[in-house]
Amino acid sequence: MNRLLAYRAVLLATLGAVPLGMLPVQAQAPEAAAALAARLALLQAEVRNLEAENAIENLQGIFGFYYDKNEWQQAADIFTEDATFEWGGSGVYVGKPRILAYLRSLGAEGPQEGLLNDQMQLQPIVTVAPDGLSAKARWHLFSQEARHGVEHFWGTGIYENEYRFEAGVWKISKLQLYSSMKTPYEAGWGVTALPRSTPSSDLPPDLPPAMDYANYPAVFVPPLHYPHPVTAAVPAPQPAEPLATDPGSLREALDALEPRVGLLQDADAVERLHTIYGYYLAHNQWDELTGIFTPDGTIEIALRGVYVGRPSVRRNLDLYGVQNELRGTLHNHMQYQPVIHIAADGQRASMRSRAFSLMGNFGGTGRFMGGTYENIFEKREGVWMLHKDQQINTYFALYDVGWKDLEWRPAPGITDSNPPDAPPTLQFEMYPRPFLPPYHYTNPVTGR
Amino acid sequence: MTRIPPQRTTLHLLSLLCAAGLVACGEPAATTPEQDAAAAELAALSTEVALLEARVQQVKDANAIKRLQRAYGYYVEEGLWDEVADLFSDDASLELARDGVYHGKERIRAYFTALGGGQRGLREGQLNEQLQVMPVVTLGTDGQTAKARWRNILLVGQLGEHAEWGEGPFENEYVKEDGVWKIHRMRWQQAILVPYQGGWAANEDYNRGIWVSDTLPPDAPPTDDHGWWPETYLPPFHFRNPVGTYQPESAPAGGVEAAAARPAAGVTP
Repeated sequence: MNRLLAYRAVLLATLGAVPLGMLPVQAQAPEAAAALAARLALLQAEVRNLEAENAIENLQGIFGFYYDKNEWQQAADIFTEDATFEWGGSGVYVGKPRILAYLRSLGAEGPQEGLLNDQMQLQPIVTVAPDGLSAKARWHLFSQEARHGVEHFWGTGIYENEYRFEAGVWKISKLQLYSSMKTPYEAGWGVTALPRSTPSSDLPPDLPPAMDYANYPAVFVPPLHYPHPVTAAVPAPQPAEPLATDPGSLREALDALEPRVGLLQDADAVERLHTIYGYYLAHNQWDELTGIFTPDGTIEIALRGVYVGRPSVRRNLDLYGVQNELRGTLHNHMQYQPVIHIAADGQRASMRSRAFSLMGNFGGTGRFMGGTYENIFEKREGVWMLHKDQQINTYFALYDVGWKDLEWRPAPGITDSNPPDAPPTLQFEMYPRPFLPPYHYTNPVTGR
Repeated sequence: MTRIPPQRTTLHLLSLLCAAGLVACGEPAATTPEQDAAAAELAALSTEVALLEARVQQVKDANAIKRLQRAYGYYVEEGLWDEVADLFSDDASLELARDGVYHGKERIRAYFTALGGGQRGLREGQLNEQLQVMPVVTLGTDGQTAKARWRNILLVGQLGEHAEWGEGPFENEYVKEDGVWKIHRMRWQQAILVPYQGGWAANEDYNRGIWVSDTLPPDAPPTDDHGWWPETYLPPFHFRNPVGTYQPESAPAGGVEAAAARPAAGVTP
């Protein structure tokens, strides 16, 4: 801004204090160039921080998917070297090696027979620092945990985490989970409320719990890192450095920024489309749902095989109920925790996300379903469409049974009367058997 | 700012700008083709920057609306009713479940306070988890209004007394006032609120969608009333299919399977 004011002052002095609006066109050029440079620099900072928000949402989602499957090394690798970690009442573990040690104390590395550990990362409020180098975020945790034949639980909590941008990569620098509610599946939260965990005696933390609080039924508000969205403002992004004001440099900066803005809009469009998918699925809107696929798109759910092209996709959806048929039926298929990667050309996107469903009929049975999506989206003639819809189910559990005594069975498989166009591309196992759904991405920090 | 004698600065700057082709040198009226081209390039750049600013603004607006609704959830579940009410515009309306419509920020504040039993914060032993998930944000073309669908997942109850699962969609409207997004219309349909024991297969709706309207009557009756679980209802989507509705060339296949899945009674076309 100082530069801009200097130009303005100098020009006014030169031209005898003529009001700016009356200046000849060519004399306004430097003013316009400086103003443009300032606008572009602010836009660069805004884009940088919006990209940071997306990267942090991806990072926390990736953490959640690793944590689900005891991928401890992978999970620890996305922390900074000096990070801190506190889970409920665990106390604080300081530094990446200690975080890994803590995680390994929870169980053997990798997916385990008889273990369910779905930890859903929901409702992000990400606040990026004005300089774009650090961030904080609040998240909701909603968990389904079970040891087969032993126990099963519902749980909730609030994360207030911190993140740091190091050498071009976002990492978690502080993970703090405030546990809220934990209850055994059989009793539920109206009957039993388990207390906050306590520090381990086998692997004592480096620091005691950072805050003294108790789980539900106690009243406790985990501190909020962000100001009220209406009565206060988040500080605006700050440009890293001023831009050169010659037209060539401005053109170069603009041309570099434009595709990045395009990718931000693409990420929004893909997440929105996938969410719409969930609403159409939940209400048996089969023609609407089929319409969001590419003409050659595929759907592959529950080992039923691959249905190719819109007519086959539409045919596949008949397996899940009658179009528009709702009465006395709950068919709530929710889409959570998207990890979205848009290809650099903005024409293709890969997404891992979580499925969690409440299903059943009044007077019949209730069911829960958990699973993982690995989907591909494509932009066709400028419009994002769903190109590959693949769901890898984790469990189908009867409401009255839950997960503790859930008997193993294979996913539903092929329906002879409405067969697929091709067999399943991926054979998977459901809980209580262990299975790691393949990731479309590598570890964002190590590349492994 | 360092003080430099104005004349020297002016001369120095003008010579630089002159060399860069950004200002006319010598006769003010005379322009060269290079100068015209530079001015045209700046004008083009200015237009393109404005277009890009508008696109970035859309991303910022969508994020701000998500932040607003998620903040609503975090305040509601802690019983921070003043913080909740302050998320609404002065002329906002609120309609949750079958409680009817409450007009204006102060009536909305009264509604939430009544929901909390007249106190700030939760009661000892109260659980009020309300997860705000699945946003579909649609911005108005005016840049000052927006709509969004969300799903609210409820884990609520009072230890030793009762516990319920709940869920249902919001179809909300938002307005930007002095650059700040606020909730302008909040409408939530209670698809289910059912006791934990037995869940939605064994229980009808726990409160029939009536939370506080029996003690704090609304300003207007429900805008649409579709009963309570096991009655089901598809709240209209505010958005159009972003790709297009599938148009089968002939009657869709799979009719046999579909017919087999059809319940014996209670079918609505």
